[in-house]
Amino acid sequence: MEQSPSPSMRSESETEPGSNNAGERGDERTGQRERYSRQMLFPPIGASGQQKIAAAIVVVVGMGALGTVIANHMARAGVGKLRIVDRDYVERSNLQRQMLYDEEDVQHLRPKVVAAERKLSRINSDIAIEPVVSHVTADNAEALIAGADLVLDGTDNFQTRLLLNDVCFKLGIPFIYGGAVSSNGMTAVFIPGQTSCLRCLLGSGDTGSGGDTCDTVGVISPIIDIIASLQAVEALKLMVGATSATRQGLLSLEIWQHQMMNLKLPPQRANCPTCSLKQYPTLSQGDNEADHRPVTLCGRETVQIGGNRAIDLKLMADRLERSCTVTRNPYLLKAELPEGERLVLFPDGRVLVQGTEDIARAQSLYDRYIGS
Amino acid sequence: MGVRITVTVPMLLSDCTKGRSAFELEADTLQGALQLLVAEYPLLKVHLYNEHGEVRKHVLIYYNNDNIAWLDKLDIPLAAGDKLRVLQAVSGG
Ligand SMILES: [Zn+2]
Repeated sequence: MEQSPSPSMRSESETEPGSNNAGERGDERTGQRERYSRQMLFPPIGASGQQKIAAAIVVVVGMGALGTVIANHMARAGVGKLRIVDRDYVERSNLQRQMLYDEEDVQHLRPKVVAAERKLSRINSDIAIEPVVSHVTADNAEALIAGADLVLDGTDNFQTRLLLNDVCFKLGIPFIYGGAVSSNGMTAVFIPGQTSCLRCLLGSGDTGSGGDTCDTVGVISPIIDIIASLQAVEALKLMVGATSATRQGLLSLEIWQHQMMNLKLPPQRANCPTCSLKQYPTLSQGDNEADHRPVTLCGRETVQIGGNRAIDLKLMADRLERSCTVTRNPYLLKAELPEGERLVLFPDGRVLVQGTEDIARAQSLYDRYIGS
Repeated sequence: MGVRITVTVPMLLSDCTKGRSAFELEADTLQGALQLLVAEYPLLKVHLYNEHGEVRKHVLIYYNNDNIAWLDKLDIPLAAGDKLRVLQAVSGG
């Protein structure tokens, strides 16, 4: 009884989605029970926990190394609605650790969320996966996150994390931070109304560097899997309502020299503009401008420009083909410039200038080929 | 004669601490240990503090289980086996 139908039976009985056939629904239930049986045998989850997971809406922001591991866990666990957000496309240097991607994705210049959705929907076709190719900004962050039961951090910079932290605390949504670089990782669960926030943890000293990144000091893949999996565990607990099991504090791991530290999270700072004063500074108009300023993507020989004016890829392809080698898919356009640099254009207006870290040089190439 | 405590720093900063990411220091108070740490390892200082002597953003210095940033005072007498742990908030992903 517990066996799923054979492939031939299945193709015979396959009907359009939305069919109301009672037998079909029964098969579906059996299939669901089988798919999640091992997880439902785990007492803290059980059948009722599985229902809660199936009803959950989870947003994973950033589909790089952490994000792919997290999304893999969420999809296999049966999260009912999974929204995945990322601005990048798959590159060869991602394959060492970004576990949902392969060489074909690199060849096709697939945006990460598109490649991830293809893979995840083959892993679990019963859940709704919503890929969003976008840079998370003060303008769109609330819309991307509204309605979520929790937000999982797969980003690679503190600027975006502080934005997510602001939105999550504004909307009252738990935010599960994770970071990994080198052989080192950290994770913590921030719950509005219960814990302090990421801004409290990071402190308010100088505005100095944003810390080492995977693009500057490297990273080994196991630390990614460990941190992302720890984030996924906390997500499962929150989804099934196992609040007493939720890990408190900041967990710090160094796996090359085997150090593990479980540290206290800061107390809520009385002057924290996010969790105490509820001002959410990254969402204020002032910071808004910053989203469109050219930025050097550290360690990647890339400058990112624009993002405030939509780009018609077809039109740009026709224009750029006169002087450059152009490749294009529905999500992006890549042009090899005679100057040696490469431009990658996205429909939302973002342009990556690859092959330089000089903002002035990047801006001049942008003006020359895209127009100011 | 001070109290012997253990200090750990991230492997990425061990260039500044003679290649070691765990070592010992002897001091009487937390304040003294923090001063001695940067006196013995001057290269570490610029990673931990800005030009105003404030702990840099994203640097977390824990005395046992508490971040020194939220202690009221630093002239706390040390006890044998105390731990001073330097961490950097991790941004990669
Ligand atoms: Zn806070």
